[in-house]
Amino acid sequence: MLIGRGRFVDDLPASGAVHVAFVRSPFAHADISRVDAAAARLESGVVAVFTGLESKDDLPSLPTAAADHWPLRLPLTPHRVRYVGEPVAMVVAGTKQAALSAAEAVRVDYEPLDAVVDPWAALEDSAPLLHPDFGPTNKFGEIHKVIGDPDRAFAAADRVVRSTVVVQRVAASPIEPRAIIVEPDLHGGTLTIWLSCQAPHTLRTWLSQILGMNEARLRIVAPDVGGGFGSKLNLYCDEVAVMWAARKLGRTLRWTETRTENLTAGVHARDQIHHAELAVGSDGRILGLRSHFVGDLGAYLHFFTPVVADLTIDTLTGNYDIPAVDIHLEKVFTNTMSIEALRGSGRAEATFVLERLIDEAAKVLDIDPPEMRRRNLVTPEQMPYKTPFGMVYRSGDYPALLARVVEMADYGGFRERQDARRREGRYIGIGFATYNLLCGFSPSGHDWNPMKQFPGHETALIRVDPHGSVRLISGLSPHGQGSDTTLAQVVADRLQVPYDDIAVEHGDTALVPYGGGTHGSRGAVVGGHAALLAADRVAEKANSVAAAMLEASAEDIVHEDGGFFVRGDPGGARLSWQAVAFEAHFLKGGPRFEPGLEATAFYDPPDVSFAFGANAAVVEVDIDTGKVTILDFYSVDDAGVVLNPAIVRGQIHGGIAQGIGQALHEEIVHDEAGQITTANFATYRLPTALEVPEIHTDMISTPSETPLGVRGVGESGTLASPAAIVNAVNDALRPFGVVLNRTPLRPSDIWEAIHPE
Amino acid sequence: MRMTLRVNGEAYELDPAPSRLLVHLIREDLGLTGTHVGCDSSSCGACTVLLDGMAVKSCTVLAVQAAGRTVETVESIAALDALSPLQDAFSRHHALQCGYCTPGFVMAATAYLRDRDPAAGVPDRMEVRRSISGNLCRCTGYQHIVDAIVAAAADGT
Amino acid sequence: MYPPDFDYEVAPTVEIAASLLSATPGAKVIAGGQSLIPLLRYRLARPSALVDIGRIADMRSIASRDGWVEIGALVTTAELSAAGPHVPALIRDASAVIADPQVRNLGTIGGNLAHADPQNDLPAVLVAGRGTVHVTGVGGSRGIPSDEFFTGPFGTNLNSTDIVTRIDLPSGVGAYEKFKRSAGDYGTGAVAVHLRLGIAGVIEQAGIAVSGIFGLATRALEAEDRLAGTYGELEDLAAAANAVASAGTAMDDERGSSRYKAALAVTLAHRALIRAIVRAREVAA
Repeated sequence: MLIGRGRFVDDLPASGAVHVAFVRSPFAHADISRVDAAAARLESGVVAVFTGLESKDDLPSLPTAAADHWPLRLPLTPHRVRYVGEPVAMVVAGTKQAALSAAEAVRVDYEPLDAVVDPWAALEDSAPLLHPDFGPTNKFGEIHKVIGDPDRAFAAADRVVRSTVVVQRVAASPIEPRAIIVEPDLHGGTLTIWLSCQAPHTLRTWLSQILGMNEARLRIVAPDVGGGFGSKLNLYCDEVAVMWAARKLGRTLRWTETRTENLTAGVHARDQIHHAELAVGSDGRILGLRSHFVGDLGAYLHFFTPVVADLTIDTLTGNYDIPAVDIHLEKVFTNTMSIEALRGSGRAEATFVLERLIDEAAKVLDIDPPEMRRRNLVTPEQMPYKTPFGMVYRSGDYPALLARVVEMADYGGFRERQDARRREGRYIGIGFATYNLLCGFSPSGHDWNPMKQFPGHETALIRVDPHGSVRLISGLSPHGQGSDTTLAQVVADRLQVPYDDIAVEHGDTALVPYGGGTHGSRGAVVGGHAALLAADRVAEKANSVAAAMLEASAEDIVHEDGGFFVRGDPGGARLSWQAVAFEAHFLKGGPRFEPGLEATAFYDPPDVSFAFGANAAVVEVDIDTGKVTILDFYSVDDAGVVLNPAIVRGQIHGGIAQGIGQALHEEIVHDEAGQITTANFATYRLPTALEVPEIHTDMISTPSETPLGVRGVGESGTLASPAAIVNAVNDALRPFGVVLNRTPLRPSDIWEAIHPE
Repeated sequence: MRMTLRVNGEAYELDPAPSRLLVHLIREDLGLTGTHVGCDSSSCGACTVLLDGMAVKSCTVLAVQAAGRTVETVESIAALDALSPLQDAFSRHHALQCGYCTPGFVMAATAYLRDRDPAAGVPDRMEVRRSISGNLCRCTGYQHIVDAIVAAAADGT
Repeated sequence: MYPPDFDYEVAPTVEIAASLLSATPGAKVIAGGQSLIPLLRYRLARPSALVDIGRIADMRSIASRDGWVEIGALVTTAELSAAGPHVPALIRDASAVIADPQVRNLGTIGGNLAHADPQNDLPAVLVAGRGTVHVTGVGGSRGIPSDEFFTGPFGTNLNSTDIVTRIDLPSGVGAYEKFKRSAGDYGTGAVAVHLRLGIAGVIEQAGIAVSGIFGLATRALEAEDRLAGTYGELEDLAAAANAVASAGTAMDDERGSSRYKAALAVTLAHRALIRAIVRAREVAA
């Protein structure tokens, strides 16, 4: 990438490929009365125009992986559109320009229907009904969990804090838009798909069913992928339309979305509104937590849509010892794009709600915010600790993490500095939040496993070449997480082979055994252990080859400093790794063992993983403009054993930057008609280098109960950062009696709160 | 329109349509796919190249506007056998993760470093951040990128 | 992402550019292209032809005169932001906060003014500074005073063949204070202040114009009157800033309510005035 030789899908040559453009609905809810592609088909360079109306009996339907029933979703919609951007027709043409031009010539007549965009409104009986064939209301389902005796806790509480907490809708926004090339081979009946994606095998299995193909004839290749963050792990209408059309035409098709398409027809994330309450004693102990919240699903169910908000429920108590919980989630369809997985999904929302309630309770009780947390954090002495939702925390020192971030932020002197600034008419604030990252799911033995056909294991194939170089083929699908480096480190250590002698490959389902891809902070904790397990097996085989060569038994072989010798005879015969590899291939000493030096491992983790940490943000609020400047950001993270500090820090920085975007800048905004008014990067604003401050990090490493001792880290930065920032803003504005419980906090929102009419 | 264009030291005779964007000419007509498209509103900077030594967003330049001028893309920055000091600093400081935005940052930073007075010493980090404020990264949080540019500047690049 | 087709001509002189515009209905001028090309990409603009004035040789220089500065229309905003003290601080301040470094390398002062986007920065600079825009068209050349240049959002008094050639801005002290939600955003608003000082630092003439909040480059006349004749003491600055709130009508939009924006205009005016006066005192010292 540094020298411009990256191979992202749009960079790849594809000889003979023709191009695709989509015709998309401009309405959030409408019936299609007519589609006229005649003029488009006549335009020069056009190969074909497909419409949902004409092809509805031929198009495959797109399921969700997270529920047993779902409303019909076709790649091209025939009769009714339910979100702005829904594909209605596609043009295939010799050039991109010709495809775009012909797409403009497709005439679609719509009869607009009332649209509903607000999820609470969508629950009402009077709301427009999105899927009359699926159910009588827009409500898809609900979950209501009551643990302990929350009613008694709330009745007995000295104080109850109530807040409506809003986490806005955002978009993953990888800088590389989605891109696909589909190449059918008519002779072999194979289909090769180059796709910017995060889990090639998972998608292959689903797509083979959707396309009605033998999975052995379907190959998916994720080349270089320019970020995913959970959004490139899906069965998209437009991508499947390209696959379907390529097979129909028998030609190679390629399509790259525009940024506007990514923000409107790519999946969205977060979007929860909580009516939440916290019951506390005057000693600061949390007695109970209640929340009634709505999870907006969007108009259709994409891959994870039904269960994203479930993670909010299961992680709502975070690192805190909260005995009584009442959590009620209603899931509802609205005329918007689907809500899907995004780095930290479900858990970031939970952390925000919880940490805002804790700060509000601290204020009401007049307890210092870090102290309020200290009094409620699960302590090492309480471990193993079972949360109300059945998660078991076995290790980690949450109070130590909090104490360290408090120290790093120089909290001791902060209140004086804050007072001094206030006397000058300036308003600085500090905010804290802790997080617990549930990740590396789902192991086969774990209770929470709602996804169908979704691998929880990881795979690694290690293949040693005759002269000792090592190929590691991983089922991960990294796109910047540095897994190539960390996996190679694991294998280099275990096999005692130089790091530079290891080549790492991934992403091509023709090459890689069945793996799970990269998402959910599983790289080191699941992928790393698969690599270790495969390396163990290779080491064992190498040992037995060495044993045969040294005429000893395998138990007497020592593998040390990259060489093999007989125990008790270190000065005697010593074999190099290269010599063992050579003999393993060419058996010059005769038939003493099965040839070859490679092993495949499939690793099913024994349990999910937890990582945890604490953040502190120091902000200044300009009360005349409402602008928030983050002066400093501190993060203390426990990711277990750290295989590569720079890579781990990079993941934390990136997650925090996304959290800053969530806290202050980003929002997918719909108007009442369901139009997205933030449909490009000029209006959907990612933080630049001027919005992200210097981030100060430290790590505490509590090894996990796994051989490598690692935990997840990919999503860590996104969980507590919005809460720390919003808590800091509230702290800064305390003299004004302002309470802000939503993200994003725009300057105008802050100003209005300080200066009510 | 017939035109000549110097790209990465080589002269080309081209005939792009007036409506052709420079980024599409670079990627599709010249096959230099290091320069990337990340948005459609001139916001992300992944398409940044140097035009007569100035950092510009090649998605916001018509190819014909570059007629007779000099373009440098990311492919020209490394020597045959070694990364440039800036690229090397990016690698050492883990300033790239997915790498998609990286060519844009490399070009923006190359212009910044060339325009700096080499005797000016270690640059102020805020000044470095301003120099890359036209480039978006979703992976790194920018800190390692700033580290790399500061390191390259300190090396007197 | 793919502009519609159009014809294209490079104009070597302003006169040729004007006659090309005259001969080609639906033709538009392109200089830096930083405002036009985004519109072409979204196909919101569909010109029949573009007349490229970006190669015209004699519109690129900055000349100091006695009492004013002459800026060629093709001078880029990057060049302006990096210019020396012979270019008024007001214009240097404003240029430095336009968009981002890459856009500033190509965007021109002529283009920024001619495009007349309410969220552009240089219109308010022109208006506050009481500058003059020199244009040449098929009918000849003329100078348009700042208060006659703009007609409204995206509207100017340029005829269909007029090309901006030069901007003259009187000397004086000034400052530009802009508020953006984040670096990649257009401004929520900005205030340009230009002061002509007389003996002992009396403010002989004040120019105060607001970008974006009240529309395109709105002069705050009451605020200007309040300041004229004073020495710019703190209470004068505060009073003038407060008067900016009623310089026009602000619109509610995603960047804030009209009430917020009016208050923002006051804050930005106040900060710009203070900075301008501080500079005035430094010059005097």
